[in-house]
Amino acid sequence: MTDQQVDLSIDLMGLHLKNPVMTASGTCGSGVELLPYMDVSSLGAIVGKGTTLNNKKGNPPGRLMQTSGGLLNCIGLQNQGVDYFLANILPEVGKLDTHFFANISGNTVEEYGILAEKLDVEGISGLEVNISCPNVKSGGLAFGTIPEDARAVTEEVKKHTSKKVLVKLSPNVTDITAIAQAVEDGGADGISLINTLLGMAIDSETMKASLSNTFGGLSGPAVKPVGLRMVYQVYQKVSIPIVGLGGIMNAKDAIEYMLAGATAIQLGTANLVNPAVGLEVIDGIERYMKQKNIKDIKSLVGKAHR
Amino acid sequence: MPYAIQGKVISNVSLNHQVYRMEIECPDIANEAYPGQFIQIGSSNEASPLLNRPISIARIIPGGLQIMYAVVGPGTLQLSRKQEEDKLKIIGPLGHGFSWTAEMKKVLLVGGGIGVAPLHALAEALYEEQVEIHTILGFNSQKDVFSQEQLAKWSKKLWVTTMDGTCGIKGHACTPLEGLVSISEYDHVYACGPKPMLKALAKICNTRHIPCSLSMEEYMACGIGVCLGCVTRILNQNQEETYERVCVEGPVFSSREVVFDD
Repeated sequence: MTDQQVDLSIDLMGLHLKNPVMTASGTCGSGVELLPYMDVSSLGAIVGKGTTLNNKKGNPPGRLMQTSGGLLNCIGLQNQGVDYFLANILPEVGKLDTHFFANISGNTVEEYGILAEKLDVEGISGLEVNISCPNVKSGGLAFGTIPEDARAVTEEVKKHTSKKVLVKLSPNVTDITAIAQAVEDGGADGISLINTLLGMAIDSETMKASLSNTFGGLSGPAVKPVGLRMVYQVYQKVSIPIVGLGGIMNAKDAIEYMLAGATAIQLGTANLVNPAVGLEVIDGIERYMKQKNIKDIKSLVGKAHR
Repeated sequence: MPYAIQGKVISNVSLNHQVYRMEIECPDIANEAYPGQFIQIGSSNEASPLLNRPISIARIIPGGLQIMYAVVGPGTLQLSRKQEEDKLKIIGPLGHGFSWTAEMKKVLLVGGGIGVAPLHALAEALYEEQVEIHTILGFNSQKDVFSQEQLAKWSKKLWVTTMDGTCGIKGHACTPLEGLVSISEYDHVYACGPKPMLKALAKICNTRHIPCSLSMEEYMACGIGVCLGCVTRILNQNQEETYERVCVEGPVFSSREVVFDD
């Protein structure tokens, strides 16, 4: 290995990120919770826990079930609402020296607009618009499966914010590129994909569904091939940047997503297994670049399209 | 403050057909741990089993921890195969454990199955505070009994119950409270075990106005409070039902605040 300098910094929608490693919503709290385990400011960006207009109790327990190479969850967006977030969580997040994206979820198109406006404040670099949560009954996934609705939500958010807008897409659709193109047409600055895959588990002892919500979102290594395929497909159809996620557990997985077309990546389930995984992935990417004599990480983006 | 470290296995021995006792060298975690807390153990580097295993701290020993775990799935099976000097990924100490006050003179500990494990550190700590300890240990059968002798060292009185009557009193862990043991003589009751046991005990203690601390268990992913997966139903100070994280706000809750399923 040589000791040449490598550049891990990226431009994501006009924002300068020190590296492409972000945390995925719902798997890192507000980022502050990871401080005992690593220097959170070393990450490229943090995406906070999903925030809704009002306090949301979430789904009853059981909310989790481990599967082969994966994790099913039906948390149901438990959070204390946007006003609580602004008053109590954002000031703590502001102490971290990295970008923070607020992840928002609404029941109606109008709610997304209200959330965007309330969060158009200092300390927030951008919004990640969740139109893909499989675990809430109204809104959520519904907006992420119909191109016209996905576009409408995107337009509404863009109307009410000066921040960069990432729209997080659901993999639970027939043609992911149609949804991606719709949000690009709606003015999205970038796309996050994928959210979790709709799945379920049944307990053969009780003979009932394992999760309280019957269905849940599948994440973890098991979904990586699906996420990778969708990033690859969408990269061919849109010109806005893609943030890739879905089963990334290590630097190798992260690099594969970048080769498929992701400008940045998010770590989700991996944070739940190893709260310091972000730093390990950054180190691993740097080692890979040195081994391959790659000076600038930007040259990896989409390189598999040959 | 919790740590994510590599611990070293000191010993790993079988206590019965299902339960193992492991001692792990991890001085940083041991220095900050207290009874009722837990650790997350990474049992493999493979995709399956994916998640760490949350395991209660049985005892805090010089420079490390003692845990007791039941082999119930692939993660704990891998753990049972660990040998002296093997390395383990550990996160801890985690959660809010048991608390007590200087006024307590006599307490009752109730453990069911593998829920007996965290009572060891509590019994040891209360014994050093010269609190009189009475203990009930509940198991399904004689073959499941473990730690009876160890807990008897700290307990002035100890009863064992088995569901099939093959050892001690026939019945569940609350059976001795039906006449043999008077709940009103205790300043506090501490318990860990299966939910039906905790529910029955909470009802007895709440009715008699005896303070009772319950160590709850829920399916857990991160163990550090970020995923909100391990919540349990809690009645808050405004008498509203909320979902609180077992890994951060718990695992120990007051019997008055836990809402059990009907």
